[in-house]
Amino acid sequence: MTSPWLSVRLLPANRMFIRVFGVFGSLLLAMTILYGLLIIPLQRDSLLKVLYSQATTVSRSIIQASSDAMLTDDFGFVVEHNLQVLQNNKSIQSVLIVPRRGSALSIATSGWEMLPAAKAPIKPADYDVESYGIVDAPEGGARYRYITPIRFSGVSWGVMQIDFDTSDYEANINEMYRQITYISLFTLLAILPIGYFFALWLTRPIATISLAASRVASGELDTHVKIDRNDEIGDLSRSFNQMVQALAENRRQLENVNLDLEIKVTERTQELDELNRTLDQRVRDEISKRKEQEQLLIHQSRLAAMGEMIGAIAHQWRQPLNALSLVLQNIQMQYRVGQLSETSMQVMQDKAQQLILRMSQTIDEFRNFFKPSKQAETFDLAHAIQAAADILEGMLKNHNIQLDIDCPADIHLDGVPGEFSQVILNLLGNARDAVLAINQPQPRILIHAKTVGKQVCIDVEDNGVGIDESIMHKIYEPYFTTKEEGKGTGIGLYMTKMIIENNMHGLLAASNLEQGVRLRITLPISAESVTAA
Amino acid sequence: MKPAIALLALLIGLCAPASRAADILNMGFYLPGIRDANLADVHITLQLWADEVGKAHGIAATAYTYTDMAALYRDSMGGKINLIVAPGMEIAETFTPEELAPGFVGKHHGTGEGLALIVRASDGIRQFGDLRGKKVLHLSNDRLSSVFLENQCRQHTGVACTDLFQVNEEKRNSQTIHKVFFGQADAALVSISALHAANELNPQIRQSLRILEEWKVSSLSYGLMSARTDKALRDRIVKSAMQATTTVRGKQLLELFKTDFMDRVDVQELKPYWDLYREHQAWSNRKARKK
Repeated sequence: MTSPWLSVRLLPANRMFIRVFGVFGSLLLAMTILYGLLIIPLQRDSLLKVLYSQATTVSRSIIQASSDAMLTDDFGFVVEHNLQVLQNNKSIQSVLIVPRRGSALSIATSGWEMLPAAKAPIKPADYDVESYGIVDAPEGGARYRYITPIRFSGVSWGVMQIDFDTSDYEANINEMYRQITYISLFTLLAILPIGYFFALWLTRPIATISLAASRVASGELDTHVKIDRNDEIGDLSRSFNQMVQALAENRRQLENVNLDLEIKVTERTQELDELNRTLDQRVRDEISKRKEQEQLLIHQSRLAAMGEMIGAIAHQWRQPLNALSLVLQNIQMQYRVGQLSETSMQVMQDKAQQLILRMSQTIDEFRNFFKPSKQAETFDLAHAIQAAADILEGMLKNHNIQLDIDCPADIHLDGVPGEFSQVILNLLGNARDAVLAINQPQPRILIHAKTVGKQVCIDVEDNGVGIDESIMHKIYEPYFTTKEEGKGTGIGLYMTKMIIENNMHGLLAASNLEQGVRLRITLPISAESVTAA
Repeated sequence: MKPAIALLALLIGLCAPASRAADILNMGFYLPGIRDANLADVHITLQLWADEVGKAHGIAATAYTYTDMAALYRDSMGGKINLIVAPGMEIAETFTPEELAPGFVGKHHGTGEGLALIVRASDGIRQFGDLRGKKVLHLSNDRLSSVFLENQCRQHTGVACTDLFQVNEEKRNSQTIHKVFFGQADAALVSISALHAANELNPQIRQSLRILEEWKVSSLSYGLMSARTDKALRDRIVKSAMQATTTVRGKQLLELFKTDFMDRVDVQELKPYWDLYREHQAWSNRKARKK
């Protein structure tokens, strides 16, 4: 098992070490070469300046010492003096004196000679020009040549050319090259140990931390680095150790959280299993509840229908009951006045019998209308609408509500006629309440049917209060009503939608008119009607 | 003094055997004969070399300098000086052959030594007598030049030189040659070695100058042992000196003094000087008798 405290055992054969070593060495070598490249021209210039200074000094000395001889054409002295100068100064290779008049003197350590002016290497045009520099020697190599005018009291006497040996100059240059080479070699040699230890010093702690980080990444959170340095690397190692400790602590906390989570998951799983086991029963229960609720709704709807029917019967019976009451009052009155005869009794008895028969028929009609038929059949649309309208006719007339029915004949629908009649009654009832809610002075309800292809659209329109757009999406919900408490159950429109869309496979849609509401029923026309058409 | 003189002295000291610690070598130098060098520097150099060489070879070598040949002669005769270093003419005028013993001299390869009377070839001077009325140069403080030129004047024209042409003196041979070359003088009496050196430096000189008279000797300066010196010491010094050029130090000295080699010299080699001296004495005596 590896020690949690990483030792600094690190082979230098890692990439960062090689890079740092290479960069350090290259940089040092480049700086050395750059230093050499920069220093060589400076040294060369300095040496040339020394040569120039030497040349000017020698030329002035020669001219000063030979001035009298030059002015008196004592060339013997000039030669003698310059020979001595050459003998005493080994760096001077030759002296060339070119007077404006006469022959030139070429004096060298190996000898001297007179040159015709035409053969002198300096042209008269250059007599007044000072020049200097390194030139190639005829025998090979190089020499420093200095040419200066010879003037006495501002008068140009001629020109002097002095050639200096450049061996010292070249030796200095070579020495400089040699030193730079030595320095470069020394640098190269120094780079090896210095660069090695420098790169090692720099990269070893980083590599140690990197190794530790790899261990931490592989999960060894007990890893620590031990680098005792008072610099950023030391700070990094301490921060690293703190970070690893924090990671370990976090991992412990995370493990605890995971453990808790696993327990919770187990519990939830058990609960879910239990739920799955009871789900079927729950679904059955819910369906049962739903059915019960639907039955309740249907029951409530029937009760509401019964209420409507009773109301309608009450309206239908009010007139015959009044008439019957009048018959009884006539009988009583004729009896009191003694005019009750058998004939009149028979007449009033017949009349009363007719009224009772009419009332009985009314009950039969209502009973037949609300007969809970569950058998689907094909029925006539116009007849169904008219039958429903007849039931509410008295009530509507009582409130002066005009009911207009525009329904083409011979439109047959498939469904339960009682359910459809209940739909029409619900819609007419809502229309009635709507126009009464605003005390419409000219209340009107229109039932309009028309065929569109294989469908029929039945619109029930009123000019009542209309429906607030904000509750338009809620009007089909059960027990939702805008009527006053006790006047509405909130199940009429819900049952209407259920009958139209679930039982008769049609659509029910409500929309506001400019004044009032339109309820549109769209139903498929019976195949019987289509065939007949 | 000719460089060969100093070289001679140094080589003697250099080559002296180390085994004879009690040997004494006292060298006497006649300084007026030294040209082209600082006399003080020469004296110091000679003494330093004498000390160095003396210690190396077990010889108590000492350099003495003189400005008067008479004094040098006295010290030599008194036994103080073993080696006399001086120009040949001064030696001949001061010493007799019997008072001297063989010594050494620096020589040049191929070129002998002596005097040459040079003129410009283009001047049409064919014989000595043509120098009449001309300007003639010779070395200053050079007894040999004075004696030789005077003898030539007497010999060729029978009159003194001062009556024949204008005589001017120059300090250095090379300067004298250049003055003739550049036409600042008509003739000059110079050393043969100097003329050879001038010719070497500038071949134009050889072409433009011509030797009118020539007098040859083995050397212009000599280092001769005093006849009073012990013969064994003389022989030992001579024997060592002959090996001087084979040592590193000896070669350095030869190079330094521009001398090709060291050669043994016999007293008899100074015979031209003694002849010249006697001839000059004869003219002088004749002149004195005329007066």
